Amino acid sequence: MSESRGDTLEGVLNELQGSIPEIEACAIVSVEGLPIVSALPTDVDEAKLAAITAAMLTLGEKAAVELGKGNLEQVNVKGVNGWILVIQAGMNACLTVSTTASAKLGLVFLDMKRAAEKVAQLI
Amino acid sequence: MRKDDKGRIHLKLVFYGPSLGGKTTALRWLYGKVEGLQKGEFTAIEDETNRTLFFDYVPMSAGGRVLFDVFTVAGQKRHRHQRKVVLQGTDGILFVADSSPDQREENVESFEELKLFLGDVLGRDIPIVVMLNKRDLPNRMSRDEMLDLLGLGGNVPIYETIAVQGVGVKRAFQAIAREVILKRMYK
Repeated sequence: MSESRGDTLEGVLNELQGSIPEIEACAIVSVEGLPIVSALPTDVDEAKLAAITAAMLTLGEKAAVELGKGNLEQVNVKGVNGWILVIQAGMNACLTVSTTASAKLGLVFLDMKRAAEKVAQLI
Repeated sequence: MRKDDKGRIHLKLVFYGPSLGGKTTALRWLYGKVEGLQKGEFTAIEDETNRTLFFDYVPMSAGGRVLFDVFTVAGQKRHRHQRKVVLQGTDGILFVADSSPDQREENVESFEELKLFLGDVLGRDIPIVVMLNKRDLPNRMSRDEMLDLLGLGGNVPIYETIAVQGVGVKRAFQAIAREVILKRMYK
């Protein structure tokens, strides 16, 4: 029996990137901020994206806890040129996605959630 | 931070705080209950009543080539010298404060001792995360009271924990691990 595309962490990222063209980069990062797997354009450094994810988690967690919003579920950052989105992928990892400004966030989140569920099963 | 002969990076994390505050309990909970961290053997140097004499130690890996060497210190006042030794080469501190009102002075003394040992690198070069432990006590001090007591402002991540149940322990550990990785590996 052959493995489907989404049976590996790399496959999950490739599937996610393939389903939404506005996704420019995506990565699975441990909750401690270490890169696990990524699908990135050549000008994006994996370690840099992992560090950015870690910094976003730290600040996001602080904001959520300090303002009584409970445990952190996701962090979203919008710049003029697009979004950086981080969501939990199981207990020990996060899924980080970078999109263009024209991305339809509803669709992106839907596919990110599906991908995160697969990641949670694989890690 | 050090590299071993296999090229793996070791980051040293230390649970610090007053005696019987929950340092060993928190580490044992991480060791026994948390999935997703590969753990080595639990080493404890303790007396016949299971009180820590020198330190507890567990190596943990979050994957890849990064290992966390996680220590606790002996909290009793007479083990001051041992605590100083354990702190050598530390990359990050998890300060476990005790929420019991009768431990008010012990919390302050322990925190002052930590600041004395590490000097102004604490919080700057050596990240710190504070666990306000025993939040299930009916007569616990309030969060604000404890932060005032320790002189903590808004820059230090604070987690309310119940180490015997594991509440908040994993999140606090992940927070200090992340702070240390950010500080040491992504400079």
